[in-house]
Amino acid sequence: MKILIVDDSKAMRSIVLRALRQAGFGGHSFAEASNGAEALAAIEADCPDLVLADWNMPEMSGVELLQALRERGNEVTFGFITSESTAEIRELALKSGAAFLITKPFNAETLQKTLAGVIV
Amino acid sequence: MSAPVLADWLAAAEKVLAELANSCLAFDGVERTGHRTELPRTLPGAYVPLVTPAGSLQVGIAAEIEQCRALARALLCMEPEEELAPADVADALGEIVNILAGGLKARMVESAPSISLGLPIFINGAIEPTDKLEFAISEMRIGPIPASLVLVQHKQGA
Repeated sequence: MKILIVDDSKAMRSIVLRALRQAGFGGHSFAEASNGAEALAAIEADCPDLVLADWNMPEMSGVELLQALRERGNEVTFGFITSESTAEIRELALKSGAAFLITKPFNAETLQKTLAGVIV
Repeated sequence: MSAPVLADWLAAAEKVLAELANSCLAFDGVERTGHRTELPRTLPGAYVPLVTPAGSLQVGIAAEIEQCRALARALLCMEPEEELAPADVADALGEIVNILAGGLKARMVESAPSISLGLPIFINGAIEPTDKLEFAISEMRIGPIPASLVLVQHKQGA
């Protein structure tokens, strides 16, 4: 599978990647983007199988990215990894088409459980 | 329910910081060593705005640059001797404060609904105090690392 990690923090992108490897998903192909606009271009060019995105980012937020994808008919599997965790945000994420929302801080076990049925 | 005051935010932030220290920094908790109402003038730190209908609040962690570097290394699971560029220190400390702000929002959302999180900034210098700003600071030890947990709020009606 091709997995795109979208976060404006380089530190968090490396933490997500490390946790994915620790969770047993290291055999997949990974790419990174630092905001929603960059991710949108990368998704249209490379057609990843899964997008893991932060919520709050400059230029285009994670939910704006998700909404832009769905408006264009792109149904790529999309999940959030974010410090946002209120019921309001979860509801908006799911309503916009996200498959899941993982709250930071997270660990490899959380990723393993959440992504077990998503990454094959 | 009355709107939370700055002391309520600070108490909640201390609890979130303790959870964060135990989880993503892998430290054995935090210890508060004191309180201040003024920030040391040249302490570097990362800050994230929380915007509510009642006004905006900045939550941040400030520390000597070597302590900022140590916190960044803890987040990234790096060894003490590993090099870390200044931009990477700023980025990692910003992410720590971003997680802190998200936890604070979740903890305070019932008493302060409609909170929006902003993006982190790193300030390597002074926040100039004015009569419109109110500071609440807890001097903390995050694991072995001394740092200041800082809240800055525009005074109501200022």
